Amino acid sequence: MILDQRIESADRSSIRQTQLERLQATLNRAYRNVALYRERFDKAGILPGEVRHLEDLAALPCTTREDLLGHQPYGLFAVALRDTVRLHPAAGAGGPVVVGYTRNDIEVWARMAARALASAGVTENDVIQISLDYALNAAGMGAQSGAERLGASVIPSSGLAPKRQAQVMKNYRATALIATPSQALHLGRFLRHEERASLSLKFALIVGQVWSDPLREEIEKLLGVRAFGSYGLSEMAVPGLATECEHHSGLHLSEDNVLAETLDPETGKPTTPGELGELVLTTLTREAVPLIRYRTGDLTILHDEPCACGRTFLRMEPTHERADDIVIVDGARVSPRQVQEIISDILPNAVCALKVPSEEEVEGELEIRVQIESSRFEDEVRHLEMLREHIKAHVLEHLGLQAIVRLVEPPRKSR
Amino acid sequence: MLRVENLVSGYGRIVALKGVSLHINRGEIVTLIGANGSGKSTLLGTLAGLIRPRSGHVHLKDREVTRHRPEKLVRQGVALVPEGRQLFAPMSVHDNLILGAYTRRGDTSEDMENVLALFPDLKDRLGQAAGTLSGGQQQMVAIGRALMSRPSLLLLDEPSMGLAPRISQEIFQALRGLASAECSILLVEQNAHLALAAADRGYVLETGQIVLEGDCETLRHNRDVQRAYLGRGYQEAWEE
Repeated sequence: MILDQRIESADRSSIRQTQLERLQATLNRAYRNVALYRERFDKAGILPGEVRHLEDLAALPCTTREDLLGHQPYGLFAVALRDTVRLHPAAGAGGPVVVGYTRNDIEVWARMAARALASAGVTENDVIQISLDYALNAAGMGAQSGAERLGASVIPSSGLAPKRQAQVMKNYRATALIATPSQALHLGRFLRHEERASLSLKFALIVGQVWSDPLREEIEKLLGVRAFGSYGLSEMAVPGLATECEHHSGLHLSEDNVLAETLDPETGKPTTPGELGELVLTTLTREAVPLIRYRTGDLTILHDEPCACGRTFLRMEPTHERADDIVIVDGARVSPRQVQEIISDILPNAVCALKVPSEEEVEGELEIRVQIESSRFEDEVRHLEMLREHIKAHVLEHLGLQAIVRLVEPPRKSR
Repeated sequence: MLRVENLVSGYGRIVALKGVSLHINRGEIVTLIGANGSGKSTLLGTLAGLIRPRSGHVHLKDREVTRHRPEKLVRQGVALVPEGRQLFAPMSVHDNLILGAYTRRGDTSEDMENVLALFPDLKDRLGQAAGTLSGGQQQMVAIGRALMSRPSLLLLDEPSMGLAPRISQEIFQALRGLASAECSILLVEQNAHLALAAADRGYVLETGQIVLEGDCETLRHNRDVQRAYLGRGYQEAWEE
């Protein structure tokens, strides 16, 4: 179902008009209220009033996560702190950054999330179980407000083990699940055949990690549901930023609230729809923390042909491999360099590699392989185990992520 | 219906509008709120053709009308209800109204009936000199005069100015009834409470630039709008 038919199916020219108006208003506010943007625009020699077309945005400098990190906590806020009603620390490379929301920001976000749920077929009659961790990831609260906006009933069930999760699901006849891919897969693998048959579950909205067709098929098979993917970025409103409709033909970007560009990762020049590029997003309705040309680091292809569902918003392909070595965990972006810095407190000069754990592993969200000198393997196993636990606790403390730590030998040099 | 892109306009050396973009959908009431000198009246004057813009584009029903003269714009369906009403005081109410249909051919009796149905107060005063009416009634004549040209876009500049709250309410109620597929309304208003209650969407203009756009519900909840235009939270603002 299309929740906001008039907006989501508007013709392209009126979408562009709305985007231009909101972009200009956003730039005017950012220039007046945020010192960083004012300095950047002045340095680039372009005033907000000189952005006359959407394409003119390309003349403005990009904003990166480093900019957010460099102005913590409130340096990029365009409103006074007391005008915000919620603060979400967004985990990711370089440590968490705080994103503030005004009452209107929360409203807009709830609407976006409600649209995402409606496009997955969820209605006010559904009972939605949300297993996302509300503290780790803003998507939990986003999904909650979206579901309530839709009029559905919500069961917040973060932190429950699969067994309890399944019990809640069965007892309260949940019809929809909002979860990360790993949560959905764990639950699916845990369920026995007869248990699955006793559930009322119909939909799963997947939030957080990278989305793909095989992943959808797997979740659909294991849980016996229709699964819908989304694109997430912890600095932006999730879910709802971009989600799938029943045709699974890419993720519809919420274009009345965000302006998407793709840039050639090599040259930084804009690429056109149909071409691969790094996704760069500009918020159009954000009051508290407007982000202008925010580099996501995710590679994707945008499509501008209308979708069979009737929506006219741009569609983005599920993200391709990243432009860098960053790993996405529950919408948070983690870089090896950052993990390396954290681990170097314990093991100076440690080399580490990251990967999203394979689907069989249930105990963590992020796998870290740490190289240690071969000689250390001659230690007692107990010592190695202690080292591993120490690293794990340290990572949890600094990144807020449950990691699987593996100690590995450095690769032998081949001759 | 109306689409404005990057309008730059002003008087002499003063640039009052610095690249304003906005749109009005069919049948919508859109309000423009802003402080004195923010450029609201300049925008209306430019849209009515009274001020020639320096740059930018105005499209009415998908046709470019950017530098059209006022009389041509009236024929194309733009009617302005100016600030301070600007009636011809010694002339009768009837004659003032009929003047609004000056650019049209054919019978105007139906339009006259519609205006009188909208503002029944005027019915018994058609022969009276417009200058002798109360402020509220004069405003009704001014709006009625604009309606006589059968506008598809009605521009209103401060319709509540100098009126008792009850009368303003009455006029705004009439405006709500006016907006239809045939007639969209752009409302400039100092009284943001009234404007945000009557309109569908709004823009906030500050020193010639739009800084906010949104439906009226959203604008009402914006803290800057509350402080600057709705008179809420002054004490908090002071203590900041």
